[in-house]
Amino acid sequence: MSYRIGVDIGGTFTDLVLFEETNNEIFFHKVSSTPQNPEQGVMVCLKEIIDRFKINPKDIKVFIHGSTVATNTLIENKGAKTALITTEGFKDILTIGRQDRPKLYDFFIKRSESVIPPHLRFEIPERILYTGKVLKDIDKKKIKNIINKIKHHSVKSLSVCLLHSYANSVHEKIIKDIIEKELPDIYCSLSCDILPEFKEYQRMSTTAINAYVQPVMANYIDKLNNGLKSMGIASGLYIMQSNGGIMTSQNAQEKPINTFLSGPAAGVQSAVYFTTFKNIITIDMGGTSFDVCLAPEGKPKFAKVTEINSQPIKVPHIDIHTIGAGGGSIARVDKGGALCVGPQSAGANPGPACYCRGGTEPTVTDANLVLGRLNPEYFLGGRIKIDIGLAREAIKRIADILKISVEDTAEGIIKIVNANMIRGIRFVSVERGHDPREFSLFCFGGNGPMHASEIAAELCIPEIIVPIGPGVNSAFGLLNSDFRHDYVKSYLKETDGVNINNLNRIFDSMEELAYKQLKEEGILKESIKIIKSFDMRYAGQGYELETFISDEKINRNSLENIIRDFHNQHFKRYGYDIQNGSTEIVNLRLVAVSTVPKPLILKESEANSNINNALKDTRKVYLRGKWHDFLIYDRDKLNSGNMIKGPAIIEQMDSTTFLLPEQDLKIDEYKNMIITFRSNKND
Amino acid sequence: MTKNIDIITLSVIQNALCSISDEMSAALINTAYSTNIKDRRDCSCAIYKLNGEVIAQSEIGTPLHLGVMPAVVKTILNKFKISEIEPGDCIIMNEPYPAGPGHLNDITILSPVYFKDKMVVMVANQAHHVDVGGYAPGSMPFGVSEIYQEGLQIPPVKIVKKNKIDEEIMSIITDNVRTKIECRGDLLAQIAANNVGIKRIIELINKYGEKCLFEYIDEILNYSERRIKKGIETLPKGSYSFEDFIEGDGFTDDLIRIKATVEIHDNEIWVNFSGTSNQVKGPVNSRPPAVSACVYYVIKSILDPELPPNSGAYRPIKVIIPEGTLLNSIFPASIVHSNINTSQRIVDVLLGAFKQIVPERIVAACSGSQNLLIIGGIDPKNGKPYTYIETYGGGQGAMHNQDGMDAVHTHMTNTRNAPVEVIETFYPLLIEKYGIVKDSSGSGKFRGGSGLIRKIINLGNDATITFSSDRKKIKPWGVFKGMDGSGSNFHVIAKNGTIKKLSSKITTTLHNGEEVVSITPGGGGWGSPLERDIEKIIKDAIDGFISLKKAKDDYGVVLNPKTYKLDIKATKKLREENNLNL
Repeated sequence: MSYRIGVDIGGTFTDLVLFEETNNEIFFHKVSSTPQNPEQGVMVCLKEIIDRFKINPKDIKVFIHGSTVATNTLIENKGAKTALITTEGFKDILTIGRQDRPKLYDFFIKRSESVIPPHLRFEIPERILYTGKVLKDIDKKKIKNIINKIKHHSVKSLSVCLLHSYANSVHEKIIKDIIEKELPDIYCSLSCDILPEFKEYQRMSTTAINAYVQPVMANYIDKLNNGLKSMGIASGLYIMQSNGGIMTSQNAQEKPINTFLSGPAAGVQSAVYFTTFKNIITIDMGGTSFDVCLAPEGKPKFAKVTEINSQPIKVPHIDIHTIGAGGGSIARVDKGGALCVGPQSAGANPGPACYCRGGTEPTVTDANLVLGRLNPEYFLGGRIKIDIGLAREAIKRIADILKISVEDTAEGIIKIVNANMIRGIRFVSVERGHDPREFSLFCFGGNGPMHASEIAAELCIPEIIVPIGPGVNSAFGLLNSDFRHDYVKSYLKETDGVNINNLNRIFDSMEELAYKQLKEEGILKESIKIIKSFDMRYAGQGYELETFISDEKINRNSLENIIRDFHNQHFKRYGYDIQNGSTEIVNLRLVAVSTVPKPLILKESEANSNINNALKDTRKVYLRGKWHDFLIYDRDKLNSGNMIKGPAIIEQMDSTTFLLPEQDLKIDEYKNMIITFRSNKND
Repeated sequence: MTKNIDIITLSVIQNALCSISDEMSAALINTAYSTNIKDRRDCSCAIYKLNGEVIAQSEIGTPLHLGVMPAVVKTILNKFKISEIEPGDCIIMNEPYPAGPGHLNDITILSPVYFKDKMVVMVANQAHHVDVGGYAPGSMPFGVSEIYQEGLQIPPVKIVKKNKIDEEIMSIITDNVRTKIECRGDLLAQIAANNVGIKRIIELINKYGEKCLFEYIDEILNYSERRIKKGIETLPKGSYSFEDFIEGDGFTDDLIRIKATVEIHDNEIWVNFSGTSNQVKGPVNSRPPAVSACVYYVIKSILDPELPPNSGAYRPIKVIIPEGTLLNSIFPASIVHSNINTSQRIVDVLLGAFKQIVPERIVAACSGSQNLLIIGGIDPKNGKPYTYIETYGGGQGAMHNQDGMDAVHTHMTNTRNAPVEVIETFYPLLIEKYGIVKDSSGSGKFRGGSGLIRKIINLGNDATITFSSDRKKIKPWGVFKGMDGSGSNFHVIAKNGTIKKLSSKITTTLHNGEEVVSITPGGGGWGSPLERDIEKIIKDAIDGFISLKKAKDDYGVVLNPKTYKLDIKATKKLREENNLNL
């Protein structure tokens, strides 16, 4: 026997997916999360599944983990005491940021403080120019002074970000050498390692955040590794990165900055795997947040910068757009009498009013319950008891202000939270030149399938895909992810007259680095795929478009093709190009991927099972201002080939799917539910 | 509310219109050429009704642009009949007289949105161009007294006709500016932004139907009007005046008075600027649209910061400005620094008046200027003209319950800074320091924010610099016993180390190797410094925002110079000696 395991930690549950390679079998398991010590939940979950299937721990070959540790550490301000060393004259850059305020008209808005307080930012005399030339040598004596201060303040982690270090890293490396000798117990992040790109604030912020979460992440991974060892599991521990690829736990300890979207990225990977090469939009709606990602032809879109707590983090990541919308989002009436939902959330505690945990504010889940969309007897398979009376009471309070019925208010809450999510989807699709009508909507998370039907109707998305386990989709994605590393090098040059040999040389050195890193992870050179690209723009612009390089070595000819591709992309995105304008290269990017064996999803032949076997009930559901009779089905009893005509509700342990009257549902050969609009088929 | 309107659809459509404006901004920023737009985001986008009322505007932008744009749109419509603006046309304009933007640098491009052969709405954007010709690089000189000297005036003309750029008009514009390539690139970006807006609005009409959508658009404006009126009703009726000063016009240092009287009526606010000084020779005069923009900004911020910003909110507001005064100058008076200094002072004056009405909703005086620095010349690397332009943030004033923000843009602007590494890569300049100014915040129970310092060495040939600031003598005021923030300071350090102190409003030469130092004001404090939480004083001292001396002098707190712990005995003694109560 040989097993691969994926574990994803969510706010409420820790999900595990077990894949047995020999017989190609997949099993799921779920336990409550332990937010204080997340590794405990992982261990409990592992132990339970080992016991359940009588697994020999030695047979567990691969263990892949989606970690929220870095994100939570930053959001909750629980990182280590961290210091910064920067060029003399520039320690306040972390305070100044971009000097703008987050809101135009609100005097009382606050900017979030940097993770490194001003008194732990130290300046060092040195100076490098944008050309890489050293203008002033580094003052090594001053480093010694700084070391004394670092000791005095019991700093645990250090970030170093000097001006123009992307062009020449020599001074940053000198600092690291000295620190490693003098303060061997302190973690040290260099900006030339974390983000060798120009524009100092983003680089400094990214490096500072890496340093801030590093000791916590390192400690967490040590505990996990020890736990695995004590259970006799000999497999390597792999961590999911924001770029949708996995890395060894050692690398995660060095660069936790790469794990900020670890879990959500896994969810997208799973969606892409299930729907090979299709145009999909993935949505993941949980209790507090809604994640959306666009994957044209099955390739998730990538982005370079994101912000957490309004602090920029610049690492290549799957472009997952998050908004504050979920089952726990709170509804209220604003000053002008308009109904608003979120982004505030009742969270897991007290949770929606119907949870009977003292929450009194009406939430999206309360609205779904009042409308009959959720089954009060079968919430999370009956594991959580909910009270519809409390939900009505909470919603009535705002219904009275609006002077409309409780049901109409509840439906209004759903419409508004849907509108917020739709705006999020438009942001990643329409606003970036993609027409949602050409995509399928892949929905997961506990609440995704409940809202997907109406969202798709509103955006004219013709098809919805609900995977087998919407609630464990992210854990499943961990098993479908390849090894992946992203490298970038700033190289600002106009394409006209650029030295092609230099380009090839830089790519070669990045490739070498990639082979070295993957070799350390036990990957053979033959199995590595290299993808190269330029960030390009018209000389003078400030934002780039990515153009891919198909040839192994760049020559005149291929460069011309790349430039043509850039003009085309610019035209597609902005409606014009400047054919005679000079183009420039800003960054060289290289991605190294090594594929791993994945669970084979077997087709099921269409069983002639009777749909009535899956029918469990009928229920009154309020929709578009009226009560309707909805048939309720049990997902576990549906088989390939089964068809359901809307309106209907399909219940399963981890999610509820809502089907509109004008929609049809079919179970495909992989047991996904496929929802389409009847009018499309001239029925 | 009209009976066909449902509140849910209202919210959905309003969201959609805002996201269209945001998308226009993204297209503009992503394709622009000048650092001022692509990095600093000195640009704004919005959607207008055919009568010039603004329906929705982008989140990225400056209150000043957004506030003057309705006037720009109306001026364009005075020149062109609706029937004369055809699909695929773009109209450009930058003239502040008779009614338009705050200065010539702010070029607007407007496009009609046609649906089924009929113009239904308009989209427009305004962007600050680094150069529009005139007397000095950056087109924001001092020493000028007529708008003719400030740069090229572009009346409303079609720069794009039926989707084809009029290269003749384009060449008149680009031949008159120093940074030609940037100018053309930025104009193309502005056109692209409108095209994105047009496309999305048509999609929206297709979805909701023309009639339905326009009913909702009217209701969106009515909704904002109702909300702002509700806010006005909560204010005590009466008349409240305040005055403050601009420190000279670049020709003289004579103080120039700005006076406002805010009258609260049943559900209207009238703001009367009678008592303001007559117009001046130098370029700090203003035009009424810019003044109104400041009034709208203050009233919205005080009454309802979350209010969807559109013209409905402005309907109950009346602004009265006597002609021939600083705030309603007569053509061709120079005005280019109205945005930089005058606008910020108007806001201070209004806040001073509102302090008498709703003190808990105002801020003490902020840095009070947009603190502009321009360095322009020929780059020795390539022989081409360059223009570095940046406005610097300063301290925000304190509030009744919190400190002001440090080194931040306040009030009428919200542009980003230019990264050090960008400045050094694209201009022959070297940055020596970029940081917070210690002891610049106005002390108080809540302190003002700290000012900013930037030191730049000129590595290139002799260059022309313009500095524009204020609050050198009359510092940003604190309130309710809060102390004033520190003033602005501008000087040049010659190669031999001599310091040349310069006026806060000057255009002069920066020689090779000279260093220019710009220091911006801190914000005023709120409440007596003696009431400040001691823990906060200690934290400010440790973090370097205040010195031990300031802790002692202003706050009456003695800290141990090594440990920064409170020296209780010395503090008690200090307070007894000076008769200070804790």
